[in-house]
Amino acid sequence: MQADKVAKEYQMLEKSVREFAAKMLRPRLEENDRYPVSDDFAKAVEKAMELEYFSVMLPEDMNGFGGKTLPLGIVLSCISETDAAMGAMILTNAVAQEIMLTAGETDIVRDICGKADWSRELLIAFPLLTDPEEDEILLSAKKEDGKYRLSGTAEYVVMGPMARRALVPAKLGNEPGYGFFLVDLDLPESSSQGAISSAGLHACPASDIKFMGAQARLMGRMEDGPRYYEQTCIKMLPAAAAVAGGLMQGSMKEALSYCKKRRQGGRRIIDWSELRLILSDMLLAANTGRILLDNAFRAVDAHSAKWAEDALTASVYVLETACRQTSDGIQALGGYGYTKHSFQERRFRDAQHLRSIFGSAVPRRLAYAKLGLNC
Amino acid sequence: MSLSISNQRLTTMEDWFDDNSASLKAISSQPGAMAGEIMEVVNLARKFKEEFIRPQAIEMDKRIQEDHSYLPEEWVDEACRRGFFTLCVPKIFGGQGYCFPALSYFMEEIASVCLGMANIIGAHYLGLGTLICTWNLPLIARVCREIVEGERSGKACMVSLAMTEPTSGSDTPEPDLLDKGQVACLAKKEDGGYRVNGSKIFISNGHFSTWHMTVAFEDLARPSETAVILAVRNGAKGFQVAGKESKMGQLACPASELVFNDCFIPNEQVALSPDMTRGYSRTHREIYQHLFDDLCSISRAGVCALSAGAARGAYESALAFAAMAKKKGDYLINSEWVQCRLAEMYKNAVVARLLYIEANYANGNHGIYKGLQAKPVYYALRYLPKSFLSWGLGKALGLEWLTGLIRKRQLSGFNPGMVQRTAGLGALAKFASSDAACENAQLAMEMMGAKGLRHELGTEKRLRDIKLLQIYEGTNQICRMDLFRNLIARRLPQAKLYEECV
Repeated sequence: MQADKVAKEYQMLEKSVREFAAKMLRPRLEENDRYPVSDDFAKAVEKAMELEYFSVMLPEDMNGFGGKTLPLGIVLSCISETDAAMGAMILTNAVAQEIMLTAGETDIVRDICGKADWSRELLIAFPLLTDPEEDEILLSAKKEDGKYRLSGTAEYVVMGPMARRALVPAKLGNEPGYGFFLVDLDLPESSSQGAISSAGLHACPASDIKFMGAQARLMGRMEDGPRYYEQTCIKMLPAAAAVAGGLMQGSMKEALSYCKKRRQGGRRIIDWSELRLILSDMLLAANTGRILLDNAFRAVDAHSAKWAEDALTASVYVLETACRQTSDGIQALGGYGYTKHSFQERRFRDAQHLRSIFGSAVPRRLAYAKLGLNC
Repeated sequence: MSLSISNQRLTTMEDWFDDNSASLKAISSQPGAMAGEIMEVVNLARKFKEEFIRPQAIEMDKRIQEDHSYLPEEWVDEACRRGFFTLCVPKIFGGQGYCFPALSYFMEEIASVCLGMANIIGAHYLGLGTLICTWNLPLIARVCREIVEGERSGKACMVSLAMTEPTSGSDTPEPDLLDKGQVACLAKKEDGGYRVNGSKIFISNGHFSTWHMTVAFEDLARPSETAVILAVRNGAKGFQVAGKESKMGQLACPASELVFNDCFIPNEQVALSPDMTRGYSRTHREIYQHLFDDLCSISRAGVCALSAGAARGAYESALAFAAMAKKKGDYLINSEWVQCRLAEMYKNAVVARLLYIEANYANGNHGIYKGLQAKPVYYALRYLPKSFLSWGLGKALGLEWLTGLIRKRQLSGFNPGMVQRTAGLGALAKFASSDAACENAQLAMEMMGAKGLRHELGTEKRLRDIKLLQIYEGTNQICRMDLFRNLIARRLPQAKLYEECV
């Protein structure tokens, strides 16, 4: 009975998200591919907060689903089918929240969410596309009078230009490892260099943020930063892949719709077998991704024995396949797919970002080999 | 499905060898001076690339992203100032007369930094190439004179090819598809010319060009039998360069919409029409197919050159990144996977280059360059003074029977086997190289991670730019069909084209 109740809740969630995407995102999709965002997109963000999509993974007493990843996956894939930038915002926020919760900072998360009468207050920027284990950390923390101060640069902080706070990794002097710090971006000691001009996800911009002795709060313990990151990273990878999965679904549906209408050589282009094969491959990729992700979310949520391997299997596949599949999505539409008349070119650009989630793709595949093959 | 096996071999060793060994034949037949010409042109391109394009390409891309209506006229002006629009205009028509294969090497250099700029120049030669393929010498002479005059005056005179329509894309150059398709650009024959109604879309350089080589049809129900090619000049009443597409990449080169509203084109500007081919040994439909096979043989080799440049650019940026970036304290380039990917990217760039070289050799041996690369003609055009050539052209143009004879011989005297060879190689070169370029762009992005997403490093721009290579000049799917049609199907009488057995 409990399982039925949960399944119904998830169905209702999916219905709600699809309605939200159709009503709030689809009509203004072309305008929403830029930063600063339009008023309509800002309203959509506020509505998404009101609908608690930005807190979907939080504990139940914070109106979330109690740390479950599947509801987040539902939100992200359904929204990203229409608009991956909004999906990336929700994902970034959820990752930052998860690291803080893993670090035991529940009260701070509750405090931030409780104050959310204004959207910017709720958003926590985070360098989602870098891996502090791989990439050089250019930010250092110094402890003075029991308080930490940050100096240096945090690179590619996603939502940096729009969030009130950022969660960033920093090193303490020459000590090994790193810790995570929550810092107020309104402090005069922090300065953003504006939104980075980038390939995609324009409505979810990133920025390089400079800190000059900005006061920050350490999350959990300094020496445990890498552990918080690793735990969060593997757990949240399927969620990141769900954004890419949404892109694949959207790309496949738009390609199908176009190929049914467009005619060439006297017949609908869907009736040409080579193009039909492209569509078939797109469908196969999108559906395989959906099945793998569903399995991964359930494995993560059930803490099954191979949850990490299942999470990586789904994520590595989906994040890489999305780049190829969205490219095919343009190809199916020909010149039309290359223009802003369709949203295929945007999906293609957005998919490139997601491939770099939590660091670049090849090291992730090597990590997968290490885990999956035990070598 | 039934499978009957006969003893007849589907391919012969001779065909296989001849189809793919154009370079071997070219060794003895190609004028030796062409190599020197090519290096001259490559040096011009390199200078332009380093002095002008590299410092501006990223900024220009950003500017147009912010304002899709912006037209980089200053880039056109600079290319004009440097003589790039007359580079391969034959000396007999007043141009600089560099051999056409040199243009591919030139394009590769420019494309290694900016595909948008490369396409500005490339699309001009596509338009001009279309006109040349009609062998209408008086019209060619007129347009070329204007191009040369444009360079002299500093106001570029460029040519575009207007073919794609809102309801008809890659099927337009394929008569079999064209006849079943939905073309709508009507050219109604009237006294003294044609009256055109319709529109064209995705026309590269439409906003920059003075002349637009426009494909239209006397009878929309029988397009391949009634196709006309018109040289439409800016300012013609009823003609308008309308909107500009908002594209993902190659932003410097506008994709324009051209609108014809009762636009009258006089006979002097009709490059090819059914009337002109009446009495030839081939039907108008066959000539239309031959013309576009010839054109695609050179234009697809051109796209291959763009792809080679783009693949090279992606390789070079990935190499620079891997040589400088550190991961976990060591240079990225010291990872085996990075070294293997760089080797793969290097291979892609080199293979793409070899493909356009081979395609151009085929065009020289059997295709549209053959006449110009015959040694007596080549050296005469290269070393005789321009004034003498100009005098000779004037005399020839006065002899209607002579220009008519040349035209008839070029348009209907072709050997189908030779055309298949050049067109097949052109298609192969185009789709293989553009797929390789896309792979390189993806590999570069993959290697650079979040850094590759930053606009200022140029890698993401290259990825956006490269994607178009798989689409224009016939999608890669159409190019695969063209390879099959030209190089595989000719020994298979049972093979049907553009039909489905399921």
